[in-house]
Amino acid sequence: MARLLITGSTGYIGGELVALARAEGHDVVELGRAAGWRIGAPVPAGMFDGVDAVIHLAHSWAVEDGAPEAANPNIEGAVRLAEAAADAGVKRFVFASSTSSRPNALNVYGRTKFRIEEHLSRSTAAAGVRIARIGLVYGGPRTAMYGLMLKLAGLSPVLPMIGLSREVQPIHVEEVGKGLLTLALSDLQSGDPFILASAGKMTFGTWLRLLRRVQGRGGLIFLPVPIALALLACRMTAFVPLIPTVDPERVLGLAGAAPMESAASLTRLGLTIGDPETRLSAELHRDQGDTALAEASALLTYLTGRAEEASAERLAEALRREHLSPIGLSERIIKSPALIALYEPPATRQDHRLARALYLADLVREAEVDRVASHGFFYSLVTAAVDICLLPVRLILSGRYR
Amino acid sequence: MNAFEPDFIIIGSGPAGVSAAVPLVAAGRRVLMLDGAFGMAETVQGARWERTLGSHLQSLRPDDGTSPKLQAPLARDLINGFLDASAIRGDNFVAVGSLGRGGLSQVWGGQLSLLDEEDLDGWPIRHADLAPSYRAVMARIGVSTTGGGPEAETAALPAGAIASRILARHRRYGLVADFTLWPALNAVLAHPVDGRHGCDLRGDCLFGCERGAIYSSVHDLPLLQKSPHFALTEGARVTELKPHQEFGWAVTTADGREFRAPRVLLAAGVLGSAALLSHLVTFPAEGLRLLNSPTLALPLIAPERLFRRATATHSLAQLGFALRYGHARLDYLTGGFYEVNTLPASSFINRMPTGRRGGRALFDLLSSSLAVATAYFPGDESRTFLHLNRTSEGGGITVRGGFADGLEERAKVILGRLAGHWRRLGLFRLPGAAIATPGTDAHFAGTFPMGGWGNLSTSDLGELSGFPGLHLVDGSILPTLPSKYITLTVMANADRIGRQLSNT
Repeated sequence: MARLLITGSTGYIGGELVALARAEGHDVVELGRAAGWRIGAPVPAGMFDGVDAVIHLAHSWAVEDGAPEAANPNIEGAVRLAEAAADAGVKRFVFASSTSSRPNALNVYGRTKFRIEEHLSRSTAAAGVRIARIGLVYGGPRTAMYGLMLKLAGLSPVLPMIGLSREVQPIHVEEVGKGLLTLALSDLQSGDPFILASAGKMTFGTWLRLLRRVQGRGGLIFLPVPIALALLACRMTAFVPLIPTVDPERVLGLAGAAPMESAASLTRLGLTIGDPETRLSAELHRDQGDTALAEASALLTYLTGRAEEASAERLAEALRREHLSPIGLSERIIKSPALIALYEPPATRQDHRLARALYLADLVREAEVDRVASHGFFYSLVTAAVDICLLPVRLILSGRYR
Repeated sequence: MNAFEPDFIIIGSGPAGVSAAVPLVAAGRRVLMLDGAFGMAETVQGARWERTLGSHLQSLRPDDGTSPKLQAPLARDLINGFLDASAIRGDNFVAVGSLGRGGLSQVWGGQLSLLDEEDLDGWPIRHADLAPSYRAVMARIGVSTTGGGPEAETAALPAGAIASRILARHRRYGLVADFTLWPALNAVLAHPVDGRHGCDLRGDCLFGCERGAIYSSVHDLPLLQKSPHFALTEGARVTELKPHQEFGWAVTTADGREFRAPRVLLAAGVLGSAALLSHLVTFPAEGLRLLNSPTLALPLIAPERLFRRATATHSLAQLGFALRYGHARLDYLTGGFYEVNTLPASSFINRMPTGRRGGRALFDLLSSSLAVATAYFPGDESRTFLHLNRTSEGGGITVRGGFADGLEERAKVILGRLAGHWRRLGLFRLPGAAIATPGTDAHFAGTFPMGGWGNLSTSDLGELSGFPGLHLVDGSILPTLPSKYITLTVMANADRIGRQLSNT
């Protein structure tokens, strides 16, 4: 079993990679803010002790466009980290780059990654450096670019979008993790970058349609948007209050992706890439099952103080059948079901999704025992009184789950 | 059963079919009963969640606004199966029928009324013709009242606390001209009889009685089957009735079997029988008139019982009442008084402007004081018609429900008067009184009236005009529909016809 030092371990890929490495029995050292380190800073003493390989995923977004290379902590920091590792006797240094890495990439990210690759190959650590150029990553937690795309594709059947005809090479985050681990642990010849991306290519439009399909939604109509207009819109977001600011980098990243041949790399790594549609359908369906059950348990717990598994399963099935699932209860509500009291509409509102779901939960509860024991006078009195006092709050908040 | 050559084929194993069969079999006539279902619709035994939600969760659905009873698993299965198979659609009408064994008696409310001479005005029979049948049917099904009174000779089950108080008060205050109140007469056993148990007052009746205390015509089938003159064929859903030169009548089933007998007794329920006869007779252009009882529900609260412990009782009607609102013979409402704590709370909470958890707490606080009165109007206040759909529309029958002109306005006034009587007895009206969608009453009659004129009428033996040997014995032939609970009369009338036909 090996000892790995991983930077960016709290990120989208990092989180999955750490879990995968630990599941395979490896020892993982996470290098990040918690260890008092940030990119560009010297590595705290003793961090490299017994480490077999470093996997460098961290990337700082807080870099001015057009800043000189010497002032870019991403470049400077990567080289410093690689050399420090080599000096400490670490055999391999895996650098997570991108398939958008090229000298003339549209976005700063692509250009920066390319510069880092160059500097690493000229550094004193070059012998142990392996470059992994990663394609369009999907799957796992719905965060980062993947989370954003999933949300966009699920949002509405009409989507204004750029770069629709660009070819993308989707790869599952778990496959990326496996590839990075192989690079860190096996004696492969370094040299040319390894391409961690599917060998097959599809257009970005096809990819978004797939993301909509696997969420059980219908077709997707695109309104192609010229890049200039999209960039203008992004810059405008910085001046409009109350809406999120969109970094033009993201737009340029979408527009600038260009496919790379990955078949040779995948063979060398012994990595098979699964069909994204199959993988995602299974994964999202399982997620939805979990969500339905978690929501059912929350509703029952809210009503009765507890949720028996069989009851929650019955309720989850009914919620799915009535197209109420997922209700979209937030994480906080699922953790503290008592909060439903703030969002619940009056029971008369049977056109309201949450009210209907609670009616079904009440039926399930009523079916549990021969005669539902009442809680006693004072409990009922207080519950009813609190309920009536909360009415104004609920009238405002209940719109959320309509 | 190849050797079994019946004198009578009875179509349907509901209360009417069984009631006609009993005297025929007793007289040694050979009876073949055709049942549309295979065995029982759904067991009422098993885990409680199965009884209340259904084994395939068919009752774990949003409230459709019909009564909680019709939303229970047993009723859902029976009625949906019936609607699917018989191609009947409701238009402003909840079409209630059953192909299951025992027909709708598996899900009925068990309330009993006897028609009197005045109610039988316009019928081709007298009260004396029905009286022996009333007695015989009541003895067979087992009845009880909620507390003593005029029916003191009948077995009694204890009434709920609200009901017994207001009944006592009603008696103490003495008679009023237009309102009467009495202990309900229900087809529920107080003591065990023939393998059925007495009611244990658990109050869970809506989901089917595990003890068999509430009468269902299913209970009579084993007794009938002991006779060599009786045979029951299941899975025989009748699709066609044809006169047969040699045998009288030929009956064809959905699975292609054919049964023959000199006489056929049609007891498929008012909607089921009409659907079968639609292939034989022509419906009038304006549609075939069906009498049903527009129904009101009036929620009430008894402040004196607030925050008290509820008393154990069954979920069936506690009291019966009648309110006269006009001068014609049938211008009166009949109703039942129910204690709410015996009914599932969830549908009541849907009518509360609180949240669900608060509503449940409020219900727990109030339920011992809550009651609901349901009242039925006589059938002449309905305007319901059966229409044959064109083949291009997929065939079948559409039932268009409606009320007599101005009924809704009159009902408001009548509700006010009714509420006044309850107030006098210590019960106050709660918001939420409403007329139900036609059909939820399931009091159907009058499609092929006895003693009527024209080709869609029947004789006093239910024999359809122009089709000798074809008798209707269910609610279809009641010429009028008083507001009273009608099942007992349907059964007594079928018994009467059975008795008379056993001599032919």
